[in-house]
Amino acid sequence: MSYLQLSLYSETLRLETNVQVILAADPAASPCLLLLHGASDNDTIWARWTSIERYANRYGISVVMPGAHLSAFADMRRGPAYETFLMRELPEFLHRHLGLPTARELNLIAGLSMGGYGALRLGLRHPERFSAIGCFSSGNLLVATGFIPGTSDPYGWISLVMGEDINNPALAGNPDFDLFEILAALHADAPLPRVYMACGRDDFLLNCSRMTAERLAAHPALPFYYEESHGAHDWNFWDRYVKHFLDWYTDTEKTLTETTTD
Amino acid sequence: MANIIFHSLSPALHTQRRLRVILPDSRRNDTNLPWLLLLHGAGADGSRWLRMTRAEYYAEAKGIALVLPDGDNGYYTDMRHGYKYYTYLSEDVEADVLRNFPSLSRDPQRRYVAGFEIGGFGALKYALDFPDHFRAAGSFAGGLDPQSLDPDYCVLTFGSYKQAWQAENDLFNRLRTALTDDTRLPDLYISRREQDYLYTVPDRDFASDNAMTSGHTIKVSRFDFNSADPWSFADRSLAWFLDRICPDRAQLFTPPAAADCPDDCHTDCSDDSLADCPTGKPTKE
Repeated sequence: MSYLQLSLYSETLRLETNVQVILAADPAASPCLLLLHGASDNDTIWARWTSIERYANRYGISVVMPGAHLSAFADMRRGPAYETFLMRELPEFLHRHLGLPTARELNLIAGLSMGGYGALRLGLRHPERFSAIGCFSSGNLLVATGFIPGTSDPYGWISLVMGEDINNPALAGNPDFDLFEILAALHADAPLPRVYMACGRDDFLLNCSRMTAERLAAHPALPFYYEESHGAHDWNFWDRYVKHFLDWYTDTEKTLTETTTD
Repeated sequence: MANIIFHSLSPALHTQRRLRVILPDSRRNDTNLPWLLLLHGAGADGSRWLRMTRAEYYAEAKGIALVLPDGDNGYYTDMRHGYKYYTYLSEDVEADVLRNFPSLSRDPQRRYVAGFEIGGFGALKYALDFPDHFRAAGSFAGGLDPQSLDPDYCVLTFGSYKQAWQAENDLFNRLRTALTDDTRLPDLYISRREQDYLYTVPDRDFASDNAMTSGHTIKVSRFDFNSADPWSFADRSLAWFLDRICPDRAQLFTPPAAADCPDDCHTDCSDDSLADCPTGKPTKE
């Protein structure tokens, strides 16, 4: 297994961008996890603050960790087009130059917080690309109680990502950003990814997580698994639950030595 | 050279940011290092300076440290629809350097700022806002005319063309004003592209006779610019700039070949300032 630090100019973003990659021993034949960071993080954060490389080695998977600033991994209305970059340009590059797989069965996507929302959004908007989705400490952010109209917009999600007026944003029901709308638009015939969600009981996004879990559970055709635990919106939780996610994904009895404390 | 990538959380940008710091081996024991804050152009990041030019080699030859922030496509400006890249530059990068790199000099006489394209704009703006912070500033093909920007990009960055010319971003007028009074200015080194409109629009040419007689130092040079190889221009500009600010160490910039000059010309054009060349010939690659 190897670790790569990739810096490349993106024609989509029109910007030099960074991606951290953990390569399985046989990348073409191994699952590949697109792992997304949270708001205020970058491409290096998962590798620095969790043992993701150790877990990846244990399960024999590749992990791709892009940096996407505060874009919510979307094509920003005012800003670079991260969704197009992540769904088109980057996988083409990774496949062509690093041999990473494009097959649905070998691709999964997951993330924390802003990245959890991003994983659900991209996974459900592009269900033909992924066989599994993981969402840690997040959900449909548009219904989260912290994001009410007329409040400040420190991450620019309302004004820059969604292109809405922050004083009078039209959030709910937006077909591009409201996860419930995206969920409702899923074609029943298409193969759907399995979805995993986890949230800590002391997490300020707990309600948002529960509301989202309810909707996902109610979908007639979407395989869905949800768990809560002690813990808050922090890296102790995410280090533990990326492991739980990988356990669930591989559906085996593998256990890892618990090295993180709470 | 010691090559460091420093990661930190930027309060202005609300994200983790990389800051690249290059420390010269020849001054390993020095705790008062001269250093150059070097800004990249559009679409690039700090690593591009290191990869596409001999910046690290030049810096080692001159015994100067480099600090290279990542400014995205933010025009080193607090964007109208975007993030606060100027505050990032002037506050967060400054704070990171002061807090974490004690060997980089606090003496303004040992501090320099320069940049390529939008980095040239950023460097000049920073130098004009904080003239006491720097000994010299450099602008290489500086994007000093916001009106030449892609319209969509201009709207995101400044709000509109009209707003792009608001006082603090109109570097032409700010310079003209500063040059006519006794304001202390860093020494300025401007490298312009052969094809630059600046050369053909005299009233916008701030490097005029007024400037030269006001006691300020402004040097202007023009290099060939091949749009298929923009970093070559940046490389030559950096070498030229470093020769100007650190003249006592290894010469990096090669003056033009004498074969192109008339036989009866006795001007020493190694300074490559246009004003010195009687034939008006531009400096050649």
